[in-house]
Amino acid sequence: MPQTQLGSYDEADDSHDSDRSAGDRSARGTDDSPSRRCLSLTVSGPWGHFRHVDGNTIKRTYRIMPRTTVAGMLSAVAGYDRDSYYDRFGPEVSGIAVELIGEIRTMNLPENSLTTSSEGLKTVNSRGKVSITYPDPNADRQRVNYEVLVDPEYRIDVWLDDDEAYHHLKSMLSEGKSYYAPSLGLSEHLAEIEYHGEYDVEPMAVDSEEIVTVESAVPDADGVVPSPETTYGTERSPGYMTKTTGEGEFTGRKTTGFLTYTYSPSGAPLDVKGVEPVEVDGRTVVFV
Amino acid sequence: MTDYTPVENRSEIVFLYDAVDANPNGNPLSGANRPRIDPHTKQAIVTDVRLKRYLRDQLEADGHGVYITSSRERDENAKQREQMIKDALGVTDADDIPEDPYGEFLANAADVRLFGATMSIDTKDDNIIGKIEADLPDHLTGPVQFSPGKTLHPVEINEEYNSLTSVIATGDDKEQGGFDLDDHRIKYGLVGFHGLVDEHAAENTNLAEDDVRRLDTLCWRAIKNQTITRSKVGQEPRLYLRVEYDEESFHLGGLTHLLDVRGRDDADEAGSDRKDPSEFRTVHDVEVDASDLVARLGSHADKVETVHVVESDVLSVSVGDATGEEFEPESLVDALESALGADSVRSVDVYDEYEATRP
Repeated sequence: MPQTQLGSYDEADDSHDSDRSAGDRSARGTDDSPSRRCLSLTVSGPWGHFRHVDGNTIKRTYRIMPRTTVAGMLSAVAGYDRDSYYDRFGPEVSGIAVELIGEIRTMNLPENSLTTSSEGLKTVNSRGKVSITYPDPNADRQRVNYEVLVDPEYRIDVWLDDDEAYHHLKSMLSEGKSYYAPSLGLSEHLAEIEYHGEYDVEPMAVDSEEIVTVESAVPDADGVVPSPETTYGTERSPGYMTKTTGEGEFTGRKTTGFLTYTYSPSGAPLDVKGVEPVEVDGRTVVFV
Repeated sequence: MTDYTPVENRSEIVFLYDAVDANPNGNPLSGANRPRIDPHTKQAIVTDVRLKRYLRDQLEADGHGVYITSSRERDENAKQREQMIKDALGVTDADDIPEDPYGEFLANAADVRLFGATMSIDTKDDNIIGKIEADLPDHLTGPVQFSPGKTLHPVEINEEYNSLTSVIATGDDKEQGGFDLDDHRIKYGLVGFHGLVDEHAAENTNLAEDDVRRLDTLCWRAIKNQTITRSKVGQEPRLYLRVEYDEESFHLGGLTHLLDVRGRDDADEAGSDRKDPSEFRTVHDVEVDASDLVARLGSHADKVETVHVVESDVLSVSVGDATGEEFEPESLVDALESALGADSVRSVDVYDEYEATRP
């Protein structure tokens, strides 16, 4: 079994779904359906910040827009509320390819902000039946160092199994509309979206030893063929989420799967083998 | 108190102000609070947090309730805010809960309606949570977002910075001591901000039509009035555009980035060479090329309801006409009127209008 099989991903928790065999994974997206279609767009902006799950004092950013962030941004375009869309972008029912356009650059953008750690919070009316907890605006500001992306730009291809959601997204994108303002990570990092259109997803017949040049970031990197001229980066970022529910428990969301992307920080394509590449608009990409 | 006209239209904001021999936004981690500069492009950077502080301070100066107050004046405002929350929500009995507790809080916090806030509300009493739950929004993401701003050109750092000696008392029983403080500034920078008013997110914070109208005068007055500390003096608003769209969920995006700057071609000067951007020292050295902005708005005229404009009479703006020929219009308002129609452009009189949206 090639290790870079389309859609392989590691589980964040131990509750493995034993039904999800390797065969099922490779079936989604390309093999069974000779000509799936996808929506293609470019998202860019002067700033971006995709907060890395590690680290506290410096808010690091991912270089490749995480799959969960892409899902969130497209849901903002479609007008889906927070915590309402995770199933539509689940592992078996959606595919997303992310291509870095141009060189990725970061800089530090420190901010003085109010801390929301428990010792910095203030509670009003704590002995009453209703209490309100808020960051104390009189406290000294905390210096938070944000690592931000400068002029990030990504080409994104996306397909959704859910026909209704797919067509709704298509109609919003093609009319240049977005229900909520799209952003690159943080809400203040306003994004611009350029819609390219709907394209066929054409699977490429390659055997596992054949080297193909892939333009998108490559999930699960073992098949990357190094070349001395190319610099590589890899990062493991959230891929899938689910809504958490439960009585008396914090309801929100949690990551159910992480993805490891390999990419070139200069935006150059990578030589890879053992992946399942597809052709979209004359470009070679890998969906995940 | 909670009656208001909700925002119906999306707006996109272009806001330019400039800084002469000032530090528009220091980097607190640089040691000497040096101006933030992109090391690659040499553009100066001003965070959205800095802009929102000016706006909040101006709201407060105008007498509006502000939730995230400045830490400068501690005691007085601390009481106000606590009272603000208590009045609306700090009740111990379900019967005491006002009709619309959350709406009342938002009605008292002008900055939260614009920029959102972080807070959480807990109760152990089912009776109370049941009553206020319907009023609690999912989240308080601000419907008005400004992207961190950049100068539209590379800037130069003033090499001959001041080294100030400041007297700082470190405690009641301690002697005062002198401190050397470096004071770094940029020579000149024309900063461009890009903002959006999201008509759908507006529902989360009860953002009112008045709040958005208020921005038309608030941004201008905030830079005029709130840039009063030493390194912030020398900043002036130069151009404000709020493009109000009439089609739901639609905005063009990135309007601020369509503006170009170059040295002003001054016919009076011998040779009339355009200055290099790094030689800009005052607004008189700069010409803003709004051709792409006006053309893009013009080509989507059917989706633009109104463009609200404030412009400084000393800022030189050029616009290319349909033949590609360049001309210097009397004002940007003129150029916009010829592209969009006179009915779609509203010239804002900051000082006539601001009184109308005061509390």
